Amino acid sequence: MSGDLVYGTELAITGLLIGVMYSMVALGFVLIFKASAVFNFAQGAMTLFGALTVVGLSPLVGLPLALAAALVAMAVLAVAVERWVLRPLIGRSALTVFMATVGVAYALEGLAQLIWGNQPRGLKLDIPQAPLQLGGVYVSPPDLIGAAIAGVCVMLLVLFFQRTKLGLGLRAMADDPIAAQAMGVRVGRMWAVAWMLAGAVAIVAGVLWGSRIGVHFGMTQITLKALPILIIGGVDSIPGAIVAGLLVGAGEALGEGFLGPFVGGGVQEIVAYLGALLILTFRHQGLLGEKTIDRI
Amino acid sequence: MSEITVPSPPARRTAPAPTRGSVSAAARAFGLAALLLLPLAGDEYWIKSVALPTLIFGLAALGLNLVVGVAGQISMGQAAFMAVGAFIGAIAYGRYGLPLPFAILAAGFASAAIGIVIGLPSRSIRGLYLMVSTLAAQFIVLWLLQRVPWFGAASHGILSIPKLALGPVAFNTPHARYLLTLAVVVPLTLFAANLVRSRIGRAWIGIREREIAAEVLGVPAFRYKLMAFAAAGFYAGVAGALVTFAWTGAATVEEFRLELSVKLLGMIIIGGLGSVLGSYLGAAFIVLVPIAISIALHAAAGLLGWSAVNAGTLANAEHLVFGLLIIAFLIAEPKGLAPLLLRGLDAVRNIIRPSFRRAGAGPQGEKE
Amino acid sequence: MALSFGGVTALQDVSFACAEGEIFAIVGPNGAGKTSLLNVVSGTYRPSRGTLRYFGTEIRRARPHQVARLGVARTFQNVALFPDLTVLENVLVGRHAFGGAGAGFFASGLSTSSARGWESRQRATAEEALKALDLSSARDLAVETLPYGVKKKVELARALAMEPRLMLLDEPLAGMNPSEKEEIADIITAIRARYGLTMVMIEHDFPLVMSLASRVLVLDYGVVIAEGPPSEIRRDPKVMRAYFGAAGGVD
Repeated sequence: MSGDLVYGTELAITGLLIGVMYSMVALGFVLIFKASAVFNFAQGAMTLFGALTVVGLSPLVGLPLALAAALVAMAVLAVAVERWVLRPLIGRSALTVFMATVGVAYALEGLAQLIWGNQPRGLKLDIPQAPLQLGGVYVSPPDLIGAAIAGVCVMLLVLFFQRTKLGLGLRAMADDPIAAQAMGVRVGRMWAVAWMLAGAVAIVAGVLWGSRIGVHFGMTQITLKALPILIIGGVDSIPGAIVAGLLVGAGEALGEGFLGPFVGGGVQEIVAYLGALLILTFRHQGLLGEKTIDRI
Repeated sequence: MSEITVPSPPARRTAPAPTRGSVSAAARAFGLAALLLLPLAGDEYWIKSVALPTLIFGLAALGLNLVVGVAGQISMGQAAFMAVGAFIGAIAYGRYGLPLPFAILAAGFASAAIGIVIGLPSRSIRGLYLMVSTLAAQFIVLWLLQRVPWFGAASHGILSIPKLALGPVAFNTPHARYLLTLAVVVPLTLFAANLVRSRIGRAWIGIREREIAAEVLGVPAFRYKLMAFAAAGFYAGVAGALVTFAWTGAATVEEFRLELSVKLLGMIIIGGLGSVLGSYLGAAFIVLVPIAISIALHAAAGLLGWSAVNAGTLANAEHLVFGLLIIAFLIAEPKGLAPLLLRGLDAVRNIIRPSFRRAGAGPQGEKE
Repeated sequence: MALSFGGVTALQDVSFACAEGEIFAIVGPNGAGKTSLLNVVSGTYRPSRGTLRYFGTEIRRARPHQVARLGVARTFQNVALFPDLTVLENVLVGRHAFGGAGAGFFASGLSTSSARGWESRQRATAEEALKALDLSSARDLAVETLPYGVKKKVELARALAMEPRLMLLDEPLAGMNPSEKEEIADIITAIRARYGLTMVMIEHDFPLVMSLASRVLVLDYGVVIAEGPPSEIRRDPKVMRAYFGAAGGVD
């Protein structure tokens, strides 16, 4: 019995730590969705692109410079996307804009792997790998540090949104784009800023993921889970994305650990989607999202 | 087959006048038949890598177009419906020995049933929410296909089928399989074309454009959405069965991953939302572009003196160009390929026979 | 009857009845709950309590399409046509509820002779409705290209094509110039006279309402403040206060 409990706790902790990374990816989606109501399919490709750039450059120039270079690349990408994808598509259906982000995803995946090659790459972050024992439960240091880094990122984002003029502008735009425009918020610039932030978040998420599982194409698939996580948390809620990411991470680990043996594994592939279906059935706006009323 | 353009450019449209049997319709039908039979003159490569996938994915895209383009819902699970059709078809034909036509029908109806289930959330959700619930369906359906032993895909996700035959006729050449595909695709396409023009199609368009107004006019919106999801499922299921029977020879889970669902969406957006013709044009585009890119890259590499292009590099370059093409296309051609092609045909016709210029267009004429 | 949205009461104890064949007008300032009232009748809003009877049938819990099937047609305040359909096709959607042989999924897809028959019968009726509003020449135009006044007429034609017993009109005269208003008012009177249907109309143009309607209901903040024939309403001080401000008066 207590064996099960320890096992369960370990699973839950591992899951929560993975969940932190889910939250990071989902955050990227929320940032762009809040600022421009665009459902950005390319978030996964951005994660791959960021991670590959860091992995590719860090042996040459060291990790800090590699991170800086990746950030610059993301900023360029953000401006390019705003200028050549979003702006020409203003006024078009959400589905069309979504499809355009699919195009961005394809192009980015191709570009990233053209530059850095198709081989999966390891990413070493000089973190001790030996599991730590905390109160009878084993925890992996990389996961712990990853969670800490992600936590700091989230704090920074929250501060950005609450304390800076740019952050306030983004929030104003999310609430009421037309009013914000009338008040002098420059929409195009805000979009670019949102994509830059999402790009920065993608780099962090990509590097953290990469240190766990290596950097490779499969990364783009994992990031797709951010979509159901988004629904579970509420598409417009940053805290929602974080809470839902944690819940899904823990749910996956526990589901796989306890149910996996009975159904032949693979439970973690669908936990997020089952969760999203539950939410859609019982609470459309998500756990922490705001309710929106459809008017005629 | 008349070209259906539901979200038509804001110009007058000729009502579907009773042109049945007129010379022009006969000529058109003849031209179409010639076009459809043309691949038979080609070699195996063209049938297998261009003609068959265009028709089969075009059929699945057509189904998706009914629910997305015509009825205005969103579905990211069309590939999963195809997977259901592929497996049910293979099981019905291989394990239970159903004759081929019935196996294909069984595949269609099984997917239609799944389509109704997937469509249930459309009662109260739309847009992004519906996108995620159909995305969930995509993953859960494939997961179940792989996990439930009855589907016979448990170990490798592959279920192969016995030799393909209908009575004494064996479909053992690509040409025969192409004809089999045509025999399935053509009637289903005509059915969809009729549907879109009918009371049902108008109700779907009404729901797409103003759901509440449509309901107030007497359209039971939820029932019609389910009908659209069922039709989309049926077309996908039949297309999935055709993938198994006419194209790959086995039902695999791998074939029907999310990437295909996204590509099918790309086909209808590029071809023309709501357009029957556009579904096939979009499929042809998505099938042909990678081939064209690959040919062009090989040629370029030859010119530059690179000995051989690395397969991985090629795939990456394909992705890059493909992504950029999609974006460029969405920006430059909002209504998709179908109206573009029709305009082109009109222009050609006007050059050949200026007097043909839309007789009786009335004072409104053609305003583009 | 009452209607509320998450704590906000839109309509409170509103009660009225209209006689068959009359033109019943609902007036009141913006936000008084007039459109909400029509939404309740047509089934798009469900009142929290009360009864709603239509020719003796309780329809409080009916869905909009069921209400439509019973013969209730309506037009919308902000024209709700289907922009990608032609004028004729828009009107044909108004024939949707008339099912029967040839109207089903398979008949439509196979384009059977019964489906073609159904289609041509509905087209005939739709053409008649267009003719009643003098729109026959606009039949094949895309509605998006039409001027606002014509769009409002197409909406009326679409409602008329439903062969309703009750027609709900939400500001049929709004946004029109005086001569267009005159024309629509004439059409409304003509339709009522010709088909003998009952009309419930929301309208801001006070003088026109007074000349068209046989009875008037005045709403303010979701509450009925007066009901009666135009001559009475015109003299009611409460109405004057709510509708025209304390010092107001008509003309």
